[in-house]
Amino acid sequence: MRIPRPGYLARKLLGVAATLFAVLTFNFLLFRILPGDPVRLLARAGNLSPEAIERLRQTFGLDQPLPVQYVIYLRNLATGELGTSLTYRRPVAAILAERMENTLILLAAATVIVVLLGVLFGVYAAARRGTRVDSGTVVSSLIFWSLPTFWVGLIFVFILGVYLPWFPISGMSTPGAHFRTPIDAFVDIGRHLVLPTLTLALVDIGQFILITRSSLIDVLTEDFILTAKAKGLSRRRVIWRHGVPNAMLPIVTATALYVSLIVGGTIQVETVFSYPGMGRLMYDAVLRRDYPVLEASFLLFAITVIFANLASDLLYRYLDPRVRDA
Amino acid sequence: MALLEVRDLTIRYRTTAGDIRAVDAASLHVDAGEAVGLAGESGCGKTTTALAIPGLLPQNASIVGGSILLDGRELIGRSEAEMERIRWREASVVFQGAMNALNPVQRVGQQIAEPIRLHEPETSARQAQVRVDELLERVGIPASRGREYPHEFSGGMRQRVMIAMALACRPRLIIADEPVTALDVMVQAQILRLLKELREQLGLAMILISHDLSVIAETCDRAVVMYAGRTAESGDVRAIFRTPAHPYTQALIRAFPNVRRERAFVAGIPGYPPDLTAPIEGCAFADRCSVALGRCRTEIPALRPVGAGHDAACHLAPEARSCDAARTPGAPGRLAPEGPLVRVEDLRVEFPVRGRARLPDGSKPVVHAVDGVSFDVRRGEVLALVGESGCGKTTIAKTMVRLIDPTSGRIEYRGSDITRARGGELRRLRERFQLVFQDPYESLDPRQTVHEIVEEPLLIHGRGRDAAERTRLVFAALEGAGLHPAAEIAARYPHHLSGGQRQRVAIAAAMVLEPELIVADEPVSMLDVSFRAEILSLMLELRAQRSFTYLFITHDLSLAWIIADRIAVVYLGRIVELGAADDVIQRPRHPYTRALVSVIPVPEPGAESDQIVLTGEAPSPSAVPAGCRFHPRCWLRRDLGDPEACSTVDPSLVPAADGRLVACHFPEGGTA
Repeated sequence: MRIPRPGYLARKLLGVAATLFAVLTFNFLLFRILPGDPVRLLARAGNLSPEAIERLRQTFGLDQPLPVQYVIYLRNLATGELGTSLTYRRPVAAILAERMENTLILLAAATVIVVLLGVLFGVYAAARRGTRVDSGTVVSSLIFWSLPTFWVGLIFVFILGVYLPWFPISGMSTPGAHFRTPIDAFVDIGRHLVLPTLTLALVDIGQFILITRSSLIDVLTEDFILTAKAKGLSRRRVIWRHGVPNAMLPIVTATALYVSLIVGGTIQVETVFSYPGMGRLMYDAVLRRDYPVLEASFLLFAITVIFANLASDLLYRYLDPRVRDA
Repeated sequence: MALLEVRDLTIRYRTTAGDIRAVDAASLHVDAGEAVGLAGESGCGKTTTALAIPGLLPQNASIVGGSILLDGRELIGRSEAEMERIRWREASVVFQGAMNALNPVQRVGQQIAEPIRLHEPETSARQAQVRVDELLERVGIPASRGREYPHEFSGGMRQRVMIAMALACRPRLIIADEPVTALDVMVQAQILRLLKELREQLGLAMILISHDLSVIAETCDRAVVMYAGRTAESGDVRAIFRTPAHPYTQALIRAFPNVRRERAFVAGIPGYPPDLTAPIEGCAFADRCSVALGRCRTEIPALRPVGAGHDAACHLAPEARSCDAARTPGAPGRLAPEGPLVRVEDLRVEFPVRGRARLPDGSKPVVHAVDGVSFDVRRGEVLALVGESGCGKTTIAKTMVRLIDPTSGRIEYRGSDITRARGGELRRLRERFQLVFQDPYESLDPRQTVHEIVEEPLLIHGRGRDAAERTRLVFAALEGAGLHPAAEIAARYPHHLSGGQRQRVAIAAAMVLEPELIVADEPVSMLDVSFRAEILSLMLELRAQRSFTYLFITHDLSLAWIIADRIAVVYLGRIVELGAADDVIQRPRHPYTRALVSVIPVPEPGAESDQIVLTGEAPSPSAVPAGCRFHPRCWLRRDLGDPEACSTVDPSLVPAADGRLVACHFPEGGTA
């Protein structure tokens, strides 16, 4: 692969920086115009005097004019200071760090399964287009795709957690357990991951199967596929060497989109399985109007989406030489 | 013994509309080292026949009878694994490389090496690389370009890559499926010459599939003409083209202009090819044949000898002579053109180059798409703009009708300046100028009925008092474009119509506003030859009836010759020669025109001896050579010993001795 011209990468990063700045600003304004005063919420719980409320305002810097708040906000972000959670009374950055790690483990497991198996089944169906195997794959993909995430999670809980008690149904590790070796601890986490990962994978694999299938079916009608066949390549090689590499672009786009859409999925799954990740954190933060946590979580997801798109843009250039020269 | 022997091959396609008998007992044979042309119009079964040989038919096709013997071995009924070993090693295919026959995400060198490594597993990667480099050099591509991707090559170069790939496993037979279709005439000549040289050097046998009889006449030893899945005629090319025995072959040859002869309008073939889903009683061509007898409709004619090595499937052969009446001298409906309708003066159109590239002096490069063009279009004439793709002919036309804004220059319509016309004035001009595009499959909105398509211009320009009035105008335009019955056609959607009918709809939509000027951009290049003549004569008839003026844009000089009054030859954004059609084609003066005319294929074997094949391709319009823009490729300049003026002075378009305009320092020179 040719190394992208430095100009290209610089332009892309500049674009990312601009988007990021816009998101930061939007995020700041969003939480300033939202109804519901966090200080009042705190005050109602504690039955405070007006002076105390005023002190609280000062503590959180809410008495300053908006532009000043904005500058402080940017300065704090730059130093990694995300404020203190109103419910956990701990620095938001520390909470996010541990929760994000948990979610990333879940997301990585689900994404790998969804993309790999989705592509595999998609190729399998496309190669047998029009057969029963193909229509069966399409129909089941559509069914899985339309299942509500929380419902699938609950069904798994009933079947594989309660009726057949094979897997733990909540949390990320067995509470209070002490493990003799780190491997045992690892296995314990793995067992806890099975059901949430399966739930996410089952619900999301359908779209990858369908996208891969339709993309590959289009590619398989191209002239160069006939050229490949005329060369004497076996059908398997025609598909994997000439078909799939050309069908990858829509899959890359879908993967980038998937990363952004999975937010909804993690909220549901983490709630159903009481999994201590970002989704669960956000869900709780919304219920408790924990603005600092919400603000930082939103930002984190926005950044994830921006970088997922950047990654897909760069991957495009790797996969398609025509994009490189355009 | 023949290298390839195809006998009574019958192939069916299963479709939702019923079984299509695409190939119906077709036969052909190819001797070692021989080139056989497979001719016929779309849907005649020529590609299906050829692709059946290496077993490359689509899944819904099945071979229901016949035999294919390659080197004495039966290929029909072999397993897929056996066919995989035969493919490419014994018979390779040159697909239309200008299209998408190369994998866009693989380096071309890798694609050429792939069959070598597959069929000769003992070859090391390095040995394969050496072979690839040799193959590339052999087809005229520097070996270093093997590291590039297909999109980095021009259409002609991609075709060369395709040929190198086909030679990779040293096969004895090459099947070339429309190898030069969609290429410019000069590139076409280069590729055909390359194929010929390679065949002679390597002793290759070739099946060349082409809808263009002229290409077959030029390249092949024998020809097989197919019609409706059957072999109509086969034999030595000289016999086929000099004394065609089948009325279809005769009609097909007449449908091609021959620039080596007197100018004559081409004749179409009335009617449509038969429906292949129904069994055909008798001769498949009987319905369109001018000499068919009763017997022709009941009894299938067998392929039988009509001369030495010359067979035809016609009850009347070799006496059948279809009538020649349609071949009238000169195009029909010619008018004496009057004064200028539109005049263009020193027109320039520049586009900025995308991206951040800079010239050595730091300025941004620009594409000089149109670079100082002056001409007039006379009222009632057909003026043809001819040139290779990318020469700027379409940009000139679009700028003239104010679809593109010129960078500088002046456009006059009936004496008034319209260079900067806008608003209502521009809208009135749009009514006077109409366009017909190349591809009738894409220029018509598939979601609109024919009625809506033709009515739309009326609505846009507020013509017609009410719906009834507009319907009357729509029907009149459809009838005028030869679409009967108008009411029935109007209710249909474009996909219900044939290619020829769609182009008639496009013409109807263009003429419903009764414009003065119609710009027709390659209006017949997507159509089969038997329908081309009809569209061209329709255009000329309409001109006679409604005094239209045409600006006819084409890359096909022979088409320009038969339809136009005058021809302007465009090279790299500039007109290099402008004169009466006959003068430009039969007595070209500019060395570029002379080269172009010399390589026009004609349906006449042995006519290609005095070709002037230019090397390379036209340079990019962002890097126009100094002096005469044609001088780097000019053969005349070389003949004259490289005069200094050619590389230093840009020649202007001035009248030569006979009054024709030529932009060359030596318009009388080198009369070799």
